[in-house]
Amino acid sequence: MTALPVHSNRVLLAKLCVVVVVMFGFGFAMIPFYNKICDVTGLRDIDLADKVNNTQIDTSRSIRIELDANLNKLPWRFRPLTPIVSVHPGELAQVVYEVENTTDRPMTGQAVPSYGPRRAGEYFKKLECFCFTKQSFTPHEKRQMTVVFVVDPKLPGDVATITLSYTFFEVEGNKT
Amino acid sequence: MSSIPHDHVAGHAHDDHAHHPSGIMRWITTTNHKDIGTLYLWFSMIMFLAGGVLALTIRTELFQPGLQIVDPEFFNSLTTLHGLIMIFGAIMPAAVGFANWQVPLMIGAPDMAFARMNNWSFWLLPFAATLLISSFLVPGGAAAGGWTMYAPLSVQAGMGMDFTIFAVHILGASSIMGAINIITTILNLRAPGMTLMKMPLFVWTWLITAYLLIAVMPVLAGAVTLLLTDRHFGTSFFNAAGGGDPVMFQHIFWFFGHPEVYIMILPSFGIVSTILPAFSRKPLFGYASMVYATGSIAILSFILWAHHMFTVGMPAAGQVFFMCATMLIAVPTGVKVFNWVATMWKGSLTFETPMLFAIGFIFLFTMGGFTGLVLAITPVDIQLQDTYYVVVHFHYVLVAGSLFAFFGALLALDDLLQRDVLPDAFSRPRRHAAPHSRLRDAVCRLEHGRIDRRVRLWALADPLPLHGSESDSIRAAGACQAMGGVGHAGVDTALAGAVPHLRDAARGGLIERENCAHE
Ligand code: HEM
Ligand SMILES: [Cu+2]
Repeated sequence: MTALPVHSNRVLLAKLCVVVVVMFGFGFAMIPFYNKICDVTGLRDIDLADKVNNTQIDTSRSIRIELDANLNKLPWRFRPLTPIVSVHPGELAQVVYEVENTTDRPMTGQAVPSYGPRRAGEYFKKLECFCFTKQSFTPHEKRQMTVVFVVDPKLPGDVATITLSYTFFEVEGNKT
Repeated sequence: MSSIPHDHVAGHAHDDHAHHPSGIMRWITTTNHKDIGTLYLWFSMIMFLAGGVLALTIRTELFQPGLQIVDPEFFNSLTTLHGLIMIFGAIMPAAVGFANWQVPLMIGAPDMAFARMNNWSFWLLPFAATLLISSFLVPGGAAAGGWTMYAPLSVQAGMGMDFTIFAVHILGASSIMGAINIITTILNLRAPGMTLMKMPLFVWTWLITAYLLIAVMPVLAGAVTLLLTDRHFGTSFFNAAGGGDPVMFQHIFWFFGHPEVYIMILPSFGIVSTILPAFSRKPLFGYASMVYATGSIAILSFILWAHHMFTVGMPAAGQVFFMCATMLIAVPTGVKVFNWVATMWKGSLTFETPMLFAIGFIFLFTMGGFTGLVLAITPVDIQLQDTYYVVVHFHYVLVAGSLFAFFGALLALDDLLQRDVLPDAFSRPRRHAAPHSRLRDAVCRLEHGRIDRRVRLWALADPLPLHGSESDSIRAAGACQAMGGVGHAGVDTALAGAVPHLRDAARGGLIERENCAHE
């Protein structure tokens, strides 16, 4: 080695900087990529209507559906009109929730469902739900919203009760 | 002492030396790789103590059940900052410190490729550390959601989180600059004849670590930037209410996080692979397989991040994939453990302190690997996630792994470091140093008053660009000598055989010269 390889150092520096920038971008690119994967695999399709294939009603079983409503740091009122209903697997059923925006400003919220026991979720088919879209409310607006669902007859035999729980979150950015 | 690599630059280097700033300015303005290595090591030591104080407070609180001395919220800050400080402040800078010290010496480079950038990448660290630690003082206290900074907690947390985010940005920038420097030094500044497969294993492990760093530190920077915009600029990347997904933070974080754990262990693999042959008086067993194992560990480490997320509700296919990929990485790791044990097999072992650390490393790191394998089993991990079992796993690999190797390295290299790093108060007892001087005398005699420490280091790990028996004899001599081992009967003969080549190498400008008349 006769001279310090200053030039080749610079070249390598530039190449490595490109790697750094690309990887920085990659961190951000993971977001659309991740969303795409969720779309393709249907991992996060909580906001799409489920397809119901078999509507054969299994009258030999009754499932107790407990309805639950929560607010995440929202000064609203949110409750199911009937806290408990009983359905047969395969039977089309409808329940109603009531929401009231108690504030003086228009607000937008998104309800996120969850199920107990957790594995019951995949057998709880929602055909229509206020959780499929964001819900906007004018000041002091009160509204009744429905959920139409079928419990899949393939529901494992040891599940006799399903808790359907919604939590309303405010969609920020729409605050104005 | 500055390193003077080539005859034709020697004059300049000496001129520079004459008007080097002294006192504190010497350390602030230094571009010398050894000075900077020293700074890194001292910084790491201070951070180690700071993180240690937090750990002691944690243990004091846990001395009895119930609340003793700190608030629950503050307790959470303690664990969070303990993790961040130890990982980014203690382990990573220590590894960079050793790289600064050893890499140029081991490959025969005059200094690091970008000496001024080297200075800068160190001096970012104290600022980042101050920012991180001072977050204890802001309203709401320091970040308290764990070192992993999971959303949504980190999105909701107080101002301490912003300090942490900025500190992580700065620490990341420092690591990236350090990594670029190390890669460039290794790829461009090797002495002639030192092919990649002749490099000491420590250099190999650092080359691969540096690539991991530039690949994943930017991803972490991206993740915390997204956190910052979620916190302050109305975006909802990780905010479920705004259409974002908190689990996505975990994916991005662990895409960085798993390679990061290998960033913390690979340099230690290199160190152990340097210490063991010296104290076993045998060359490293399976050099090539060590290189390939390190490479495959690095590549695999990109495809198994979700083993940290088995409980987030992944589809079964994903769980099986990440479980298998995780178990796969135990194979190259096992190859390494096998090679270390085989290096000691039938060697003439002596048990000086660095060797004790290295052997302790092998046993305890292996326990860490086994606990990792247990955690890799998805159904088992679902029980063990977020328990002390995981804490135990990573302390085995990080404390009994990385840290043991660093302690071992510090002691093994005391001959080299003593003058420049350790104040005299820490100097090794005479008994330990004695073989050095005896052997050094021998070399000095044979080499007409010249000795080279770089040869010693090369010799240690095999890579002198010489062939066959010459390189063997140098290696044998160097190994005994470098580590202060008690010399073999044949060591003088070996040295005698090696000397012509040392001389040639010195003429070729390969070797840093050091007059030993003053010794
Ligand atoms: C045979 C090799 C290894 C295997 C199979 C393995 C496996 C795992 C698994 C499955 C977890 C997740 C546990 C959970 O959160 O439930 C984990 C956590 C962890 N591992 Fe390893 N590991 C290995 C080596 C290492 C090494 C070498 C290091 C670092 C030097 C390391 C550092 C960590 C850390 C820091 C965590 C916990 C992170 C956190 O949740 O805060 N592991 N490991
Ligand atoms: Cu991992």
